[in-house]
Amino acid sequence: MTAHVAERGEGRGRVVLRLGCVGPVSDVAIDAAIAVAKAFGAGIECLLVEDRQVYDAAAYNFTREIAIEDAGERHMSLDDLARQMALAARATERRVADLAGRAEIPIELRHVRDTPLGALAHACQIAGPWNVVALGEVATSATLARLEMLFDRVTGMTGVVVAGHRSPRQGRAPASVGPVVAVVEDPDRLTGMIRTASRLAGVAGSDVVVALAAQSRSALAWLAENVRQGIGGDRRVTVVELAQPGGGPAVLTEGLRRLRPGFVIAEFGGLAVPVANGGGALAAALDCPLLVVR
Amino acid sequence: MVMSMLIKWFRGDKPAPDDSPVEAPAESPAEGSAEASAKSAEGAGSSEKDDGKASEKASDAAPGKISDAAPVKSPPSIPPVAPAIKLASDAIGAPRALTAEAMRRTVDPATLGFKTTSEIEPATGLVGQDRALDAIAFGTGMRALDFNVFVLGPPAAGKSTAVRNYLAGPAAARPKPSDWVYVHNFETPAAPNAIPLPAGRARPFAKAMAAALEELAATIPAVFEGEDYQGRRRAVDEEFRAAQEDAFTELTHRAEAQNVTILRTPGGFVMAPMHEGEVVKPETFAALPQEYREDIARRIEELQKELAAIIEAAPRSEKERRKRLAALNAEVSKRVVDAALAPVRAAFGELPEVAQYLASVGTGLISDIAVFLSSPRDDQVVPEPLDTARDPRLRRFLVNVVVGHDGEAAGAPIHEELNPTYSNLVGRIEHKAQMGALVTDFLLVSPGALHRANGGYLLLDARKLILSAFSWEALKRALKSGEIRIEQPSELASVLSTETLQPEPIPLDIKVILFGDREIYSLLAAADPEFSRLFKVQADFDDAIERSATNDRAIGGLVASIVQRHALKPVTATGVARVIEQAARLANDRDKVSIEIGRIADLVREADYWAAQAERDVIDASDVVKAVDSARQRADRIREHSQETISRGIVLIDTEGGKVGQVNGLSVIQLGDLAFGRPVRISARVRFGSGRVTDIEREAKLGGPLHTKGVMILWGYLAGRYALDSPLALAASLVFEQSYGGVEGDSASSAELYALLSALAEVPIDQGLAVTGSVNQWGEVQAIGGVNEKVEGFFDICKARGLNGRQGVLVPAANVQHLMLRDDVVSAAREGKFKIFPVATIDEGIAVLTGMPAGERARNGKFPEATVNRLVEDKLALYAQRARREWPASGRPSAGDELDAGETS
Repeated sequence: MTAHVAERGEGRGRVVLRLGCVGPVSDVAIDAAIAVAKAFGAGIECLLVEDRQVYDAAAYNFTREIAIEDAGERHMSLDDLARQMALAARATERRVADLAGRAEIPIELRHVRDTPLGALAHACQIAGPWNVVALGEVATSATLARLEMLFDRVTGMTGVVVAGHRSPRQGRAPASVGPVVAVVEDPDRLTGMIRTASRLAGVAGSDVVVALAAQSRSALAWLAENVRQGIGGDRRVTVVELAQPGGGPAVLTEGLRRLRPGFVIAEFGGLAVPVANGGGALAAALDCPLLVVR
Repeated sequence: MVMSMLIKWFRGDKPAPDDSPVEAPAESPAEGSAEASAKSAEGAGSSEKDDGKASEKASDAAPGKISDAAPVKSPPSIPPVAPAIKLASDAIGAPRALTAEAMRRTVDPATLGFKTTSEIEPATGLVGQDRALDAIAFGTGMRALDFNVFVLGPPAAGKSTAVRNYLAGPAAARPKPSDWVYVHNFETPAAPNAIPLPAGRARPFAKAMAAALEELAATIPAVFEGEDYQGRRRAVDEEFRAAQEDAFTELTHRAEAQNVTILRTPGGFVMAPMHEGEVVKPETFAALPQEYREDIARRIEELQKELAAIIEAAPRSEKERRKRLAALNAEVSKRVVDAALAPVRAAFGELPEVAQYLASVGTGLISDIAVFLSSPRDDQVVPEPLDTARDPRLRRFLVNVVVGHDGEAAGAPIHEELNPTYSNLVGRIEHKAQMGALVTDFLLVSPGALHRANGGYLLLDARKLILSAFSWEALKRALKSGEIRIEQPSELASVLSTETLQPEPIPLDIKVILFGDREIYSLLAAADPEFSRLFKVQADFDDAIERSATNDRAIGGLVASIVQRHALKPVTATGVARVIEQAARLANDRDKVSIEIGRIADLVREADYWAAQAERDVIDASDVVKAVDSARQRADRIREHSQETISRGIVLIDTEGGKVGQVNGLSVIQLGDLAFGRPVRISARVRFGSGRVTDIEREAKLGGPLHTKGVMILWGYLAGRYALDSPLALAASLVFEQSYGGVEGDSASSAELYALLSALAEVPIDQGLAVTGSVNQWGEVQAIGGVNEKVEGFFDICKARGLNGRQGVLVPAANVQHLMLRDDVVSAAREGKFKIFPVATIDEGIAVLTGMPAGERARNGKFPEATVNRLVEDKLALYAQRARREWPASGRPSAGDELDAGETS
């Protein structure tokens, strides 16, 4: 499926930024969402999700909150929890509004109490299908492990933006921004991938690299031939063969890292982002945002 | 009697042998023309009129009293002065006028032995300063910090040049001293370390360090961005991140297996029963069997403990991760830093202090390697390269060369500091304004003259040194401690508190040579006991040397060296002769010649200019004369103005005729290099009184102590000469007429005495004569300074009014040896138009001035009749008689007796 992001005013999609009301706000994640929105001229719907399950958990008399600062145990009161959630949501709202305002991106803020997945599914269903979901947290292997459930449950979206450790806002200078690397494993996806990559590269002023990945040497050769034919004489796009076939996700990830990408676009369920627990290596290796397309 | 004697003199008769102990003159020096006689007659007439008034006033001073007590002889009628001058010679005990040759000692060019200076070897050293040079050789040869040299002598004597010329030899024979650098002190940053290096190696060392930093700035980012480092770093990160994540994931899985989920809360984590991926509602859970609920609760409690353990381990894990990364960074950094410093170590590592410093640099660079890995700023389109010279984080690895002897000639340095301020002497710590504060570092330490001259010789002007705040004390401190310690003057004064440094002192091995005049030397010796301890050698430059054929030729060599150094035209022998004569004039001594090289050089250079103006290839005597005259004319405005006030009658100076109690004194006005003589009228009034000479200058607080002393001596002379056994019942007043600027010195004391004697004797003084010289209590006339200027000052006035052949100056006989008068004065004397009388005693002087013999006391204890002394003694005897009558007890007034205003005893 070709990645598509709804442009502003399209009415059938946007960048949906999901932020929790717990834990610190990740500027890196917000920047990643903004970068995508800016590239496609889209708006951002910011979902501030109060996980209702936390309230359920707090209602048990035998549960304790384990403090992240000192691992201390304490009873949770629902009132305190609600107050803390509200305060965290308000602070997050201000931060997101500030960053989006600087980038001149229209933003709509919604504060909901639901499960994170449920809130996303509901939001994407309302204005689907060209939503891109941006997870408001820095990617970990656990994050990528949950992508399957996300793609399965949230139907009104075309892709997910997972933030790396490095913000696309850092190093605005073209010389310090890596290329937008589109990992192409299927020649049919080439056009859409290149278009998406080009728009992201246009914002940062960076280059576009098409990184080819295939299961076998012959498949890679075939893919390369097709891709080169598809690109034709477009000198703005560089094509590289990502890694020796058959090396596994780690080899492919290392190949990607060596390209020093500023943004990576990869297909969900492919070699780069396998369906089940295959994204761990990628998350660990990359420090740039990753757009995983359906 | 007096009158008859005067008539005799007027006729030219000899005085009676019993009245005069001296023989008649062999010749009458001023026997002039008929015209002169006529003028003399006019002068006499005018004098008679004036002196008649003076006599009247003198009588008025004590009306009737003297005549009541003891009839006094009638004052002598005023004698015509001109005949007296005619007689002024041996006949009346007066000295002969000097010959023209005695007024200026000339040089015979033929005795010099060359036609022009191009034929002789230029002098290579100083002329006639062997003693001073020996002292310099001794002082500079003594290898001790307290045997420094103070070079005394007049300005422009060539002291500095001479010392430099002398030192060139010993300095060249000594080794080049060490270079010195200041480097960062990694243990105590506020106290930079000083490191010595062999001469000429400091700057290469500094360049090598700067190059190493440049290399690091380029290589370190590359190395740390390289695959090798990144891979190893990721491995470390992954190891720790994975360990923590794995533990958490494993706990999550175990919890899920037990139908427990872990949720994030605003402050941490919470666990809850789970069913089909979602938290079980509490009300649903409550409906479950109690046994099941308790089991879940127990499991959650255990899982919570495990979760707490994982969270507790996180900081330790992070700490360990950082430690591992630091070790990795250090390992990689060390490799790069060692490689960058390798050339420096290879070139300078044999120097122990440098090797030690490089070890510190290596450690510092490794620990601060992140400096080289700074991210460019967001607004930088093109990232700027790291500025190793300006980046404050890298400056501490640079080297500050405070002393570098590369490019200098071999040998020890000879450094002359022309402006020895504290900072210029010992160095300074400069500051930069940064965010409103003044900051500094070791690279802002600047060297001073002591650093530059260390290991050699430092030449300083003593006057400038002691006039510069803190400098003298700083120099002494350095010499005593044997080290150069740079401190902020503001610290010494405790006036400013800001960030500063305490650089490590640098050992001092120096010879200081101070230049100054004798006044400064005496001042320092008297005021500062440490001066004599630190400057044990004095090199005393003579102002002048004896005139001799040998020295005349030496001066020729000196002139030749000036010609050579300044690329001037050769000087002819006649020109050199004039230079020597002018040098004698500068020395104010006909038998000496000034060796103030600067002034002689100026004269020759100016003569060269005039020779060029005259389109001559050589400098001739006329050019030297022109140079002297032009120099005088350029600075002559004040003198001309002074002379004009006399010529126009604003300042009253008589140059002919006779006056009682009035004499022309001579003063010298010094304005910088310009000195000129200026006549001044000195007058005296006498009357009966309590025994006191009133010095009006002193009473008006215009007289200096030396002048007052001179006046007091007069009193001693009068008492000793005329009133040994009777009260000196005299009240006299002395004044410098139209003098408003103060009087100092005793050179006019003889003139004051002449005026006093004239007033007492009521004998007029020839106003065509002027007088200079001090006097002692025995009436001996003593030498004074500035005799040439004084004579010329009076000559100029007379010349402007017309020389009449009777004018002249009385100078102390002891000053004849100092006469180096101008050509026009000498010419006038040669033509008999102007005279100079060398006077050894007051008696000689008064005879010349009055034309009347002074008179010597005869066997009967009396002075001869018709002598000045007899008239004076008679007048004083008259006063004494009256005093005994009015104050019979002691001949002096008692407390109840009324004194005249201004008269005190």
